[in-house]
Amino acid sequence: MDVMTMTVIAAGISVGVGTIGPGIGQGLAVSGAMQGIARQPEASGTIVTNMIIGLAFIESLTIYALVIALLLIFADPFASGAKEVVEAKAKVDVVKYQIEQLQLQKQLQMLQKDAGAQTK
Amino acid sequence: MEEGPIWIRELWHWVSPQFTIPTELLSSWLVMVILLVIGGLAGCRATLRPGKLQNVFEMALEYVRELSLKIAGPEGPRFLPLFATLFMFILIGNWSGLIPGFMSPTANLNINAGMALIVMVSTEFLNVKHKGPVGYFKHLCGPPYWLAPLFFLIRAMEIFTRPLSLTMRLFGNMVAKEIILAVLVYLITLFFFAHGVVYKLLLIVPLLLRPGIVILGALVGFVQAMVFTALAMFYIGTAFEQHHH
Repeated sequence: MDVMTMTVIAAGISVGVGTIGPGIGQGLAVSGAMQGIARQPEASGTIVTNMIIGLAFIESLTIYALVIALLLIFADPFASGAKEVVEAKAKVDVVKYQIEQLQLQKQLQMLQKDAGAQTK
Repeated sequence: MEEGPIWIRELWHWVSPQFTIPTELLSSWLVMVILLVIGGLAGCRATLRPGKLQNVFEMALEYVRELSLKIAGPEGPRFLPLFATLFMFILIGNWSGLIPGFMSPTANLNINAGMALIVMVSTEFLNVKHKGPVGYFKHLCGPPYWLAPLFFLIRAMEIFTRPLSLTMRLFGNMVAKEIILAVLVYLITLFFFAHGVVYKLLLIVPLLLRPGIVILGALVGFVQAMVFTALAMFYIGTAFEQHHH
């Protein structure tokens, strides 16, 4: 599992887990507001205004988690290094394969020489 | 995240191709120009029996004034210029992101951080000016004086985390709306290029959903402008509260 896979998994978990708490909190806030309106319908304007402000406070906690997920997906400081590491490893592999190819060619030449020497 | 075609950038590019200015700055200048022009038209000949434009602006200003009386206490209307500017700029800025060809200046971190810094500096300045340095220090140590070190730490951290949360809230809301709209546009493009009835049936929901998301974006823009202004009023209102008497 390289860094880029883990980054995507982390972004997904961050938004998923970060909506549980504020979701419950917003449910409690709206339930309190509904009870207040039920007891005194004339005050519903004030209650709704204050409820909207309270909901925006609570929602900002989810938005912190969303900002971290966006940061990980679009502007990740760690995954950009991982791409270069993968490229460098690929180049090292290519050079190793070339060395192996040269060795095998030499062995082939030596075998041909032996075969040529035997038939003479 | 790249931007699409935005006509202000094209206009500036036509005016001076070598010297480029970031698009966010150009869009914020455009919002300022819109506010100045319409505000000037509305207020330059103010009469006691207002016409339509003046009426709309008076409604908006009175709304902000009532909110400041409720949240910041009786000293609220003294700072009505600051609160009204914040509210109108953020409102028009958020709504201009919904029009194709424009970009909302509040959808990037720098402009939001600028506004949050203004609120932070004015809060601290008013705190020190109204209570005096000694009174401010006592306020930082908090009413339960035997908890002074802990309270001092929390209050000192709050000075820096409040503007940060203001910035992040506005930025996150606007960028989330733009991302949802972008994903829906991608799905709608797939809908128009798909072959087969099943694909078309599966992809018809984004087409029907997009107007709903635009309306939701308008509502969220208004709520976020109101919340930013209300929080600014609350922070400035704490400079004038009296609980040590």
